Amino acid sequence: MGENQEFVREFLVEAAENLDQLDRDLVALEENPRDPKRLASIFRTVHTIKGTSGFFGFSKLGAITHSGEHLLGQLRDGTIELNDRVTGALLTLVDAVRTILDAIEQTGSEGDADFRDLSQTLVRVAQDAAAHRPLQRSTSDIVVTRLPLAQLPTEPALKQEPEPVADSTTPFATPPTTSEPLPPAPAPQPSLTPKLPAVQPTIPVSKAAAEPSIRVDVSLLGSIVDLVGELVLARNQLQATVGADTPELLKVVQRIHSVTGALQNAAMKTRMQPIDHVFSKFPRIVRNLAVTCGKEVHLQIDGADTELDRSLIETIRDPLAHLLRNAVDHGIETPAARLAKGKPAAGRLSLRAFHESGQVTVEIKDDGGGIPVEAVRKKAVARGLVTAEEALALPDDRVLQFIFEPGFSTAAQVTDVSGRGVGMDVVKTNIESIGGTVDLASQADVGTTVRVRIPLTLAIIPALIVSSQQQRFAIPQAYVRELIALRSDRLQLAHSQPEAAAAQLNHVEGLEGAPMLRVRGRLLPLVFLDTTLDPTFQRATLSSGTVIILRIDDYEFGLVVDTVGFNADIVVKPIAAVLVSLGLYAGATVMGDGAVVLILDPRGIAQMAKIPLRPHDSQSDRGLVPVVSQPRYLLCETISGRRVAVPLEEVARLETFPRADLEQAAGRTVIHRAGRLMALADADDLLGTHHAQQQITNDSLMPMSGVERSDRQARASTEPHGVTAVILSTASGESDIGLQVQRILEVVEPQTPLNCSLRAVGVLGTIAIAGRATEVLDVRTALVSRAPDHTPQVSL
Amino acid sequence: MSVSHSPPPADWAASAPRRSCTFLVAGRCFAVDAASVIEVLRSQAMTPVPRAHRAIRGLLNLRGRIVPAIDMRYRLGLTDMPAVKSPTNIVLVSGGELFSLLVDELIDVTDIPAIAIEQPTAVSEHFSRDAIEGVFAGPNGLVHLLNIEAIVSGVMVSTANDSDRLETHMEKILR
Repeated sequence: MGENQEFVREFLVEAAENLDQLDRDLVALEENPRDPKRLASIFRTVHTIKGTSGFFGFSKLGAITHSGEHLLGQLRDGTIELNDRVTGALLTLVDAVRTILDAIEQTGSEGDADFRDLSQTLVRVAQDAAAHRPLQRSTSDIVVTRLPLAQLPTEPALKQEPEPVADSTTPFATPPTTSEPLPPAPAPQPSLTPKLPAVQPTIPVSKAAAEPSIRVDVSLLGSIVDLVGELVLARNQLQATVGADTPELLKVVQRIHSVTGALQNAAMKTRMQPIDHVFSKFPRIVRNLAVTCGKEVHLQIDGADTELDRSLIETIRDPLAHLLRNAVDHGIETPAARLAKGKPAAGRLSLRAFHESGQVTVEIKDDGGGIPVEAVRKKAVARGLVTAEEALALPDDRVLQFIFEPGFSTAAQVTDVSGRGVGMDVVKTNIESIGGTVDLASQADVGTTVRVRIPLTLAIIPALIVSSQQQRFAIPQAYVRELIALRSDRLQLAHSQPEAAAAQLNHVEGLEGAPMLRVRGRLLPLVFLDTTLDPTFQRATLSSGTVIILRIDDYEFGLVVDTVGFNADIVVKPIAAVLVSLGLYAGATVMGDGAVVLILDPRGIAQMAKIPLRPHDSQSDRGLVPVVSQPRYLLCETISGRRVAVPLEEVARLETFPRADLEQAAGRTVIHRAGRLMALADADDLLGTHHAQQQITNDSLMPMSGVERSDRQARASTEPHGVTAVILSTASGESDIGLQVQRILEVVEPQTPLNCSLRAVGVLGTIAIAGRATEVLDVRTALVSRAPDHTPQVSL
Repeated sequence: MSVSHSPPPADWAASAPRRSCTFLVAGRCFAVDAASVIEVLRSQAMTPVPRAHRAIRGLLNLRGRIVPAIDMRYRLGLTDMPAVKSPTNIVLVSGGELFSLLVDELIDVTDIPAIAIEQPTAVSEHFSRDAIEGVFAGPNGLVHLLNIEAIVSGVMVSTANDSDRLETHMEKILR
């Protein structure tokens, strides 16, 4: 092919992307057969491939695309109508084009497959349709192409081949169930307009002219991101070096600081791609599968423009496809069964992606028969995962977790429908390998919902920097649930009864080989980081330290470290395979001072400490303790002395700042943290003045007076550790809002429900905590109502 | 650009001189293929990696890339001599990953005629020879040519148990 090679490669890349677009367009066209824009887009794509194939002398490709173009031209001009046969023929065309392109990519030539029949079929379909011959849905026609079957991805037309052919002169497959169950269009294409032209390799023909973009080598982008990371380090060192005595230099350094920050943001964004790159394949997969299974499925896709790190996009493709297959194959019932249950014949399958607290959640929801819990329970017993008695005692939602066990295929064992290769354990392993989680809920006859949570990016993650034996380590925040100081005085703070806390401290030291920590009535296994990393290390006494409660799946354990440093967004760097194989480290990062810090893998730590992670092992004392989903609250004392409970799920972390770091900007208190400004709101202000009767220090029913203000300030200034703030997690996960309080009291898990009748602006309701009525802060409303012009994140 | 280079004749690799980077470890002379060497650095700050193979001295930051440093004295079982104060890092690439070999001192980069390289059978020195590819006579005595892939794969530890086993193995070598 000589010097054409470069062009051919470019053509192949472009064509592959265009084919994905074609798949989407064709399936969408079935929903709305007269959509002129989509028809025009399809026509252009096929036309482009035809033109280029002529240029390179790919005659087979030219021939079939020519026939296809002819058919499409008639569709576009309205001389023929779209129907099942036309769509099917066109989809077969796309597959054939793909087969040829694959052959060209691998061998440089078009391959041996013969596509003349397909060309004829395309012509005939066009003629038949043009002749206004009404289509008989019952005709079981078949496209006979001489494609090697193995090369074709799930192709319904070909799968129908063994069925009897009624009329071989009208050769097209019309499977009996294709009448309605066609998935809808994916999210409208315009919403996918590339925000980041540089990494948006898919440039659908329809908008190529509108959005200027260029193709960039991914490795080049990678090196840009690396270099920016270096620049950030150099900037940090520069900031540490420059003193306040050189104001001019300081100004320049400040400027470099903000530009570097912006550059880092932009560089990281080049890694992001809309999740549509994965979703776009699904309408076709679902359509084909529904046809094969004889089911009617209506696929609804939302949030296809949600962006995700491109390195993650590929990893989630197979797990998501598997979950969709499960939903169609095992979840959604046959039309007859659905009608018998009083459901509409067509099953609903919803695929939704959205941002949620710094992660991307992908939700796959069907309204099918649900997972048969009893069958799972029996299978678990049969496989020896639990004893029969244990199985009976387990709640249904725990039983469902067994389908994540290796080899516990829902396909073969539960519904006796043909297995489909990877099981749910592989789905779970794949998602967890990128730091994500899989949750599953199912209800008989109502349906199954699977939620896959994926970190936005693997490149930069929030982490907690801890130290053990004078060495710093980073722990990904995604695993961290809470921190408990392992000092006797703090233990009393963390637990309501002082004597119990003292006993617990003994408890921690007392049990040889199996230290446990009692936290709010639950015993958590404790792992000491120092002895885990260095088995020869002998600890004299357990005098101080911090327990980091880590959560893996549904289980928690406490990791004891010497000190907890700070929170930081760290750039994750890969480490050598010889170190990955240790299983203890997820990577490494470079700190501001240039030092390398290892990122701990909590899963590996738990395994190294021999804490079983499997649910069925949790019966034993050393097992991780399942999480009880009781709402928990962070009990705080406000500066004016009120007690207020903040729902723990709203809390991102707790921080203390030096008072001197507070600044006033635009009429509010802000603090400069990690390169950005964080707004601080006073908890008293959010609660409003109408709750003044609950104050401890001042029983006045009067609104807050100037005297009281100064009293507050006096109280606040006596606080030795500076300003204590509860950092709230925001929906986007991007900005921080701090809630200023006097001090943190404890984390409580009240047994009584929230009383919502006693609510007001900023107050969600009242709850009894330790016998006292305590206001629960309504974080959202409070922030909106008290600070309408509140700007949580101010870029510098 | 489509002109493909015809592969060299089969005996080409065997007959061509090999450019090697020679260095000292515990007073003995070793060499690695110079084509794999990226750069040579002075002593660097290291972050130790708990539970890793004992030959892994730590991780160093090479312009943002995390590079594990392999202490060649431990890797070759040559811990009988006192370690030098500030070892030299020979950073090289193996299997797409960067590694640093901690050596006492870099000597030279030389071309060794292929015929000069002999099988290491005749050598009776007491150090770990699993990574030795060949031996040749240098200006100051015997030089052992090391296989980089073998050096790296020798520091692989998969679990804690393996690490214990490997360490006893290493101790055996030391004796």
